[in-house]
Amino acid sequence: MDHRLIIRNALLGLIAASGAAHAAESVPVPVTAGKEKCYGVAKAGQNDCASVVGTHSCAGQAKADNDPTEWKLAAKGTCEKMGGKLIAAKKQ
Amino acid sequence: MLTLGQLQVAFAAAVTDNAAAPSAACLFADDSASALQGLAIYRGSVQAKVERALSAAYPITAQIVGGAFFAAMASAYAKSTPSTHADLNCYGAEFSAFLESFEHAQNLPYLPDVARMEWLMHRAHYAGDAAPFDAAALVALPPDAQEHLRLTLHPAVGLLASPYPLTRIRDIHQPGYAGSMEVEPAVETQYVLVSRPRFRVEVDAIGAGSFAFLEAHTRGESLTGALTAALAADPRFDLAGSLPTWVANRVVTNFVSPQG
Repeated sequence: MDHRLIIRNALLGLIAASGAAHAAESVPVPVTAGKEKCYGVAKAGQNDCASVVGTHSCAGQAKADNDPTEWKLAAKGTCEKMGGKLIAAKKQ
Repeated sequence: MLTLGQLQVAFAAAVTDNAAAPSAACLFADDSASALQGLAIYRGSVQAKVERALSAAYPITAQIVGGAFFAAMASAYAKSTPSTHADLNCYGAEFSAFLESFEHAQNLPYLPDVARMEWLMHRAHYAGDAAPFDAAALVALPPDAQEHLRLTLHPAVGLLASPYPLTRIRDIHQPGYAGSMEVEPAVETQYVLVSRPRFRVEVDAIGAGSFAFLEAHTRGESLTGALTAALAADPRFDLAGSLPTWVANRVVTNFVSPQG
């Protein structure tokens, strides 16, 4: 099938599908669906000013930073649990 | 007497790096020791904000390396790449590039790609809205114009190709996940589509053909050019099957005809 025909068929399909979608949307949406939406909108931890992990904290962080930049840490998160197979995989 | 510009540069340097603090201590009326202590507190406060901003954008990266390591990494990033935007949610765009060359993270070669995916997700969350696809306008279009159309992708759409199984890594770091943490290496390149069908950001592994098709549109290709790229990447690519799904999931939101 040549490209022109593939494109024409796909666009015709799109027009047909959108007609069906419009019909479906006219059905009344249950109230719970609207409530669900409201919960999902805020990104984790960023929905209030004083949140622990929020980017706009009101409370100042009065911890002095006087450490010389000396690196002596090891990554100790889930990288250990994910195992060595992932690390062995070389980047192409 | 310092100009305002010089004063600001000296203060910014002292806030970013404690090695630069002594040269800024003279800006303050207090004695040097007290000025240095004040600057150290200011610096600690800035670093805590930077760390919070980065861990909001990169929660999976933070879980992978652990809190202390991430905080130190965030601090190193802040020194190399100061914020250039008043909104901290825009801070961290170059974090994946930073991780690429960060010597202490070299034993985690997948980390930069995880961060790339997370930045796409973070940007997708804050991206603007787009009006739904207007299929009625397609009907009005002369058939000859169809192949020259260019589809418009939603502002939240992000595309990423990686040799690592990124969607698996994402899945095992979701809150409430209690299954195995083992990750098998990917056998082939993983193509990732980030989108925001309604309000939540979604991350999906897609086929090579779909990836090539959507990616061609980000380069301004027409439908014909994008289809050629998609079929070259995967001869089984099914445009008629994919397009309605992308429209329904707000991946494709509009089209531009060459006549304007």
